[in-house]
Amino acid sequence: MKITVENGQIIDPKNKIDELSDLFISDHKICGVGSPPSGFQADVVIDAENQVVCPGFIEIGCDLGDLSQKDDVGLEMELYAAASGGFTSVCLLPNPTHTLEKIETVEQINRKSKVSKGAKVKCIGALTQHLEGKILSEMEALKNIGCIGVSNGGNPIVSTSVLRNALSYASTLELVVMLESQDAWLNASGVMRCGAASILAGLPGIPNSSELIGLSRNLLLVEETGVKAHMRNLSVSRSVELIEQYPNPRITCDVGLLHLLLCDDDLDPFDPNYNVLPPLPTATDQDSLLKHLSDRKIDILSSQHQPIANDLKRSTFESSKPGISSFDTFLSLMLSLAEASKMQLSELINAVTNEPAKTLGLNEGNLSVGSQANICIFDPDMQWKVDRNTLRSRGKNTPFLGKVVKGKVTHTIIEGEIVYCCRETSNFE
Amino acid sequence: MAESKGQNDNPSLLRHFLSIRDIPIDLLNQILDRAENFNPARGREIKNVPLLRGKTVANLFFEPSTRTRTTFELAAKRLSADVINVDIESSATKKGESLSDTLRTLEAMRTDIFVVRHPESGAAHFITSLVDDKVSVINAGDGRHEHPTQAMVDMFTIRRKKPNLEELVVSIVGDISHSRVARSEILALKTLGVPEIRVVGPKTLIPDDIDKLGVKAFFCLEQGIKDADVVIVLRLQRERMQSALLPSEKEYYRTFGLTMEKIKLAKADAIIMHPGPINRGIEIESSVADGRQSVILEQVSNGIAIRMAIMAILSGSKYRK
Repeated sequence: MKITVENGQIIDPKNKIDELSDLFISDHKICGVGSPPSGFQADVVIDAENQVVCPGFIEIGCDLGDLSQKDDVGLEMELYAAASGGFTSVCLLPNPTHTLEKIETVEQINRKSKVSKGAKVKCIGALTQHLEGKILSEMEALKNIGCIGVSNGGNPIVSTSVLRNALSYASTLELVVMLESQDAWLNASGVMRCGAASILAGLPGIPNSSELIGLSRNLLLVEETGVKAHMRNLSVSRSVELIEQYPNPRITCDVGLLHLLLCDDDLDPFDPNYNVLPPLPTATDQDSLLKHLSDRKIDILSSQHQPIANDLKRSTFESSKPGISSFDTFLSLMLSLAEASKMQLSELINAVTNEPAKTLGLNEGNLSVGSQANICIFDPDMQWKVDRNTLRSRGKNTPFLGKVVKGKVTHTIIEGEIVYCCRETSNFE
Repeated sequence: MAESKGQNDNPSLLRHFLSIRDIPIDLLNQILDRAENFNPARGREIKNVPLLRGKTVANLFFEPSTRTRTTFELAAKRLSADVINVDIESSATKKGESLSDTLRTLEAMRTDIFVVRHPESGAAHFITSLVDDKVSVINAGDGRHEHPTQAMVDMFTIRRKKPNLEELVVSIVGDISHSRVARSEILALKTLGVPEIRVVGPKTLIPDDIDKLGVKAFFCLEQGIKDADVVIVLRLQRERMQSALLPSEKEYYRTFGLTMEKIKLAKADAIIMHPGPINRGIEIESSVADGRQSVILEQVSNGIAIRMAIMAILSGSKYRK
């Protein structure tokens, strides 16, 4: 299909473009910006007046909820939710319901993703079998069927020696390893950041040292094994300083958007939708994390999307399952971050398009001629109310329920096809 | 999930009694004044009053308790309410759904007030989201969050002995990290204008950022109780040794146990309090607990008057137009 996107504000951070222009797509690829290739005849013209046209968002690592049911439509629903939120590729991390260690499981997910009307999945295979941190997974086989990295998800590997071996083995295969940084013992009973807010809430706290110890351990072993590593979900400012002590271009890191918008003082201890891991940062750490993203010491912005079934959030804070559903609200919250901070919108878009593509080695995340036509078009001014009935993700677990936000994706183009087109008008008058 | 309801949507009326945190000084004083009316002069018999006649109070305890439950029961009976006591193994109700079933059953019995104790912080707030609009919930201790009625008992006891609250030094000694009583007391003392609140204990039992709550931390008992007007001693839970927070009861008693010798450092007329139950020879010496400065038994009897006051105010505000 040949598509022309007219009159949009094109933001392409990689090519430093931020201007009113037209975009041309054919054969699943971008074939022109500004002027069409000779003889170009569009099948579809999208009028993007007063809208922004940018590369589709790439989620560096998310959870898509329980995918254990074979015939379940959960995966399709989440991928459609992702597309409606402007995401064109999402990295799926292993979790206990889908450990991504069996060839059949990964192949099945890849098949579903291929035919689904939604974002495309990139599987991150298991680092250890059953994510138990004891025996290495068959990483070579996982790589062969298209896993673009390996990870133990949110399950810290307790044995340092197993972790070292796992990193070393992944390094042999040139696989990027995605690592969460936490200390299994310090994290054990905590549900929010240690500090005055946790004292008042009467909720057990997680000290910053948990992330710093976990990260230090990871960094030392990454240095020794030479593996290409991505440090996920930083939530402590000092973590960035630790990474800086290892001037290794093979180490990248990300921060969650919600961690830049909400801090421990904002947390409502009676609303389990605020329960997330790593816990929300302190206000001071939050300011520095934002600064580090702006300085590009933090490479990537993540949605940390994690849909959670209602009954696992229908409890007290401390017995609820951590995680926030974010695909639906990502764009709006990113726009509000740009408005509230000194960061340019193009810098934020860079951190969720060009940077993750670089880390993952994907031919997308930019609008260069010849790149895959993965594109997000959004109306930055449309207001809408976050309503559990209209969220597309199965997960209604967001602390923004009931809030009115600004900015909505109007079209998502994936591999040159219009996968999502917003037909609704604002639900908020 | 239904929104959990604030305890006082309208600030002059109490809907639930869940935490000291958002209660304004006027309302705290109103509770204390009301409790004075229910507290008979020494030696006089307490009369039953018909304020809660025809109403049902359910004591919903997910954690064992004798003292708190009994005082709630007596308070409800003195207000002429019917009382149901329900003890529930908390493990069976960990999930919201089964808890919700339990509550529906009790609601079907036309319960008007739920008195809830639960090992998880926020449990009483969570329960407000599960019950009918007409029902009030009283927090009788949730996890390490709050124990607001105990704090009111202690404020009542302090105010009777030391009415000049704005001149007092109050020291709270013991396991502040895990104590819901300490949290509620700190909040209440602050609201009532007590200028110097100290927390005293080893660093493993005092949270790092406690000073941000406007209290002073002391890691030495002698310094912490020096010239204090009120010393509140907290119960030490035995499981603190298992989690490597303390080496032994013996060492704790040696360093933070309140003895006759050590109370000499506090003001000569200082009062000694303890929310109970007491571990004699662990956090407090027997002769201190039974001594002339101790007001521990008065705390227990004041517990009934305070709980009567809170239930009376809750039931009164619901029917006020």
